Amino acid sequence: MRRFGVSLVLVLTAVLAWPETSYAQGYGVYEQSACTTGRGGTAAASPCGDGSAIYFNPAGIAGRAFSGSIGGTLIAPSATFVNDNTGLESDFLAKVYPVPNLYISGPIADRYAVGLGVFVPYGLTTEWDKDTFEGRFLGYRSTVRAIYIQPTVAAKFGKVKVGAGLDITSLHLKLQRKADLSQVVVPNPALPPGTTFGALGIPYGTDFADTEISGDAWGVGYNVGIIYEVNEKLTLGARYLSRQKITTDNADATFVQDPTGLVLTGGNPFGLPAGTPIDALVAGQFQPGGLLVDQKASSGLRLPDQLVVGVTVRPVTQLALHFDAQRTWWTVFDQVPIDFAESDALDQALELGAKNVWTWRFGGEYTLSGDSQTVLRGGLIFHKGALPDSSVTPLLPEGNRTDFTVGVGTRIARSFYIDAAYMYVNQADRRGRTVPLTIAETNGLYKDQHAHLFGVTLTYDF
Amino acid sequence: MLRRLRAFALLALPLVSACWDNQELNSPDLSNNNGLFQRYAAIGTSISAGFQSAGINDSTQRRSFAFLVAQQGGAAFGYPSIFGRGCPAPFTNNVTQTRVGGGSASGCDLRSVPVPTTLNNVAVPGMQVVDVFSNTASAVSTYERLQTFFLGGQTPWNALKRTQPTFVSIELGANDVLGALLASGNPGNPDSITPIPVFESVYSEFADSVDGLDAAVVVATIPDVTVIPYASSGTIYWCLKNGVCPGVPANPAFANVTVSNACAPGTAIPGSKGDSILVPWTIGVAGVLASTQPPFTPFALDCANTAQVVTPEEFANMRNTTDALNQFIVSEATTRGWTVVDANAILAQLRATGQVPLFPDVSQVPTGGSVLFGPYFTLDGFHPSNATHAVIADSVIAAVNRDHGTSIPLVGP
Repeated sequence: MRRFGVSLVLVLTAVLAWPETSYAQGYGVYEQSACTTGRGGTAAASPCGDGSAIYFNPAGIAGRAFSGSIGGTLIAPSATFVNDNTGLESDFLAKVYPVPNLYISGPIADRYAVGLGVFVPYGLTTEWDKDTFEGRFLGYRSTVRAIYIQPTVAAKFGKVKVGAGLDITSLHLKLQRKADLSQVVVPNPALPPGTTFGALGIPYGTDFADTEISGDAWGVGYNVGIIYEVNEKLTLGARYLSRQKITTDNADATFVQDPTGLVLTGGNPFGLPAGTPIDALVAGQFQPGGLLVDQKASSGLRLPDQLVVGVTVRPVTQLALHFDAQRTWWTVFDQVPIDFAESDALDQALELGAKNVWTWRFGGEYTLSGDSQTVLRGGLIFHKGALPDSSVTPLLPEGNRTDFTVGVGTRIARSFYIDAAYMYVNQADRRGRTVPLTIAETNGLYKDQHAHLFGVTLTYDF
Repeated sequence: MLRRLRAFALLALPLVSACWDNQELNSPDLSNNNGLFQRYAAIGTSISAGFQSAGINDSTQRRSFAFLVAQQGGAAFGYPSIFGRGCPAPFTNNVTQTRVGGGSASGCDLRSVPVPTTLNNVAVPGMQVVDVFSNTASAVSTYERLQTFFLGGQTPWNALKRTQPTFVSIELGANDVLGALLASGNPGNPDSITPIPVFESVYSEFADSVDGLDAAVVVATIPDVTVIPYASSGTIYWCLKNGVCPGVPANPAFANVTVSNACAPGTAIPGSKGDSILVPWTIGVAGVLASTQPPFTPFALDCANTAQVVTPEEFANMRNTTDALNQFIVSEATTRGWTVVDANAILAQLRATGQVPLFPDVSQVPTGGSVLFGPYFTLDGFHPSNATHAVIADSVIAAVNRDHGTSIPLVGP
């Protein structure tokens, strides 16, 4: 019990100090264990012994000794957008994103086990230069972070193990973008309805406001799994992570005026004196009674469900070959609504039109002879992109991916085991846009999209 | 063991090689210019903007030489398209002053939306050199009104720089001299000409700034506005009145018109300088036409009246200023290795066809038609027509092909 008490403190500390998460396919993050990462993310049939079975297949904690693990993955993504017409390029900001995880599990009777895991199966941060990136009006920084806290129970009945966990989810959303004055409707009843500042000459891409929408919410889901140890050479497994719909009415929307530096000449279509700065024209919108005042907003996100089925084959004792097929129901991620409490004119819905996709994972492990229990790992992953071209934006420049992994695990002391892994993500060049859909479905190419991932997990066997 | 590992590798190989296909950029085909026109920016006056017949709209904007050059090069070319009738709408009849769609001289329809994500044509009708770096330097009302409408409060330099151009066409200076010819109440007014030191100072600063963009540049010289059909010589008026000049019979329309001997050529009346006097059509032709229509107001043209004509001194000032500014422009361009297109060579080419009239064609006016200025000038008498824009575009293209080894096809007639 004392062990669990200490572990609970660790969990709470990790949650409170949780950093932002990473660039990922869709916005799924599968790298929740260095052992699993090293073997291509395969874990449905034979989860690793670091407790990460809590996420990958809850049934996997049954029949294992007490263990606690803490780990993390550093993710260094890169991507470039090239405009079709101008040929100008913009790059992701060069940053490294940490994704920690924490698991503790152990038996409570002959056939039962319990555990607690804290992990982030859905998370995303994309960052571009806020002042120069041409897509900054769709978003220059976006963060999605869904932290799952999952108490888990499992049981072993002969060759069959079953497990289930309750996912208590903390969702954080943050979207930062610039506002383009040329797209804003002029508040002047003398003009035809819908007349924008662009129709009066304001050029496309005129920054006049920096906006941020940020909110947190809680949700609940579940995670269930089953493992069938057919014989010592063959194991089958399956796991289902439920979908969740999480909404918040308490998001904060803030607006800061950006100076445009534009000055009107005489005879301008606004009827204002020569020399009038355009900033004076819109300043009132940032004052009480204006549209762009700090206010509350509501938004939400659907976290898709996942089904993974897997098989492990052990042709010889030292060699294990794994295969997982994962289906993710991204169609639930069809829209991200944003409703402003005081400015209905700003309400919008980010339409995505995602589709359900398959992921194919292949992995292998080879245990070296000796007492160190050293294991060498390798893996290969094929992901299909979930979004149509028109939804590939700076917020989510995802696409088809091929990932390569290598890893190693070894015992470093009587009760300590360490796993390390490296993953190289190679995403195919993907057409997308940095402009509103009213202008074009796509206007360029997201290319050279790669990521380097380095994961480490330290496991303590009680 | 080794056999098992080898078998595993053979099994894995097709999987490793099964990578996803990359999608492609959807870029314009710039092969005929070797990518020179990747980002083409045009800065200039109403000529680059596409002004015709005292107005501008999307139809005329798409006929500007800058648009044609970009089109021949296969380049994307965003321009401040005017939706609807225009800003203002061009003339359909310069006698009745009717305009496209019933528009007015002060009317301005809105910009087309969506606006271009890149604005490549940053030319503004009425732009003078002093306007390049400032939005409040010019007092020309036309420029002021259109500057915000076209560039949205950006200075032309900032708008140009924003495109990060690989190729720039510069057509500046016409309004620095033309203003004198167009000055109502005192055509030829030297106060309407930009002082040469001012022009040179600002132009030089501008040229230095453009140089810093590391783009290929083509520069057009200033056209000699004393040879365009907007104004005819005093001599022509005297000849049309008196019918004593070889090849110029008397014009019956002049029956109710008097033309002073100050308009005569020196060969007819010693001391007269009719060849160095210009009469804007808005004064001379308008007066002649008014004398032929009820209430048949007699028209008196006095070539000594500076309110009616460009005097010989003013004529010389305009010509000399144009020559001096062109020498300066050519010097600045040559020093920087820029391509130069001689606007006056183009004018000479047009005049050599014999289709630039010495006096406007008024034959269609009695039946409700317009005063015409030949096939190369539009209904305002000084803005180039579609045909002229094609000639200008071909001059630019030929110069670029010559200096940059490109193979951009000509527009052709």
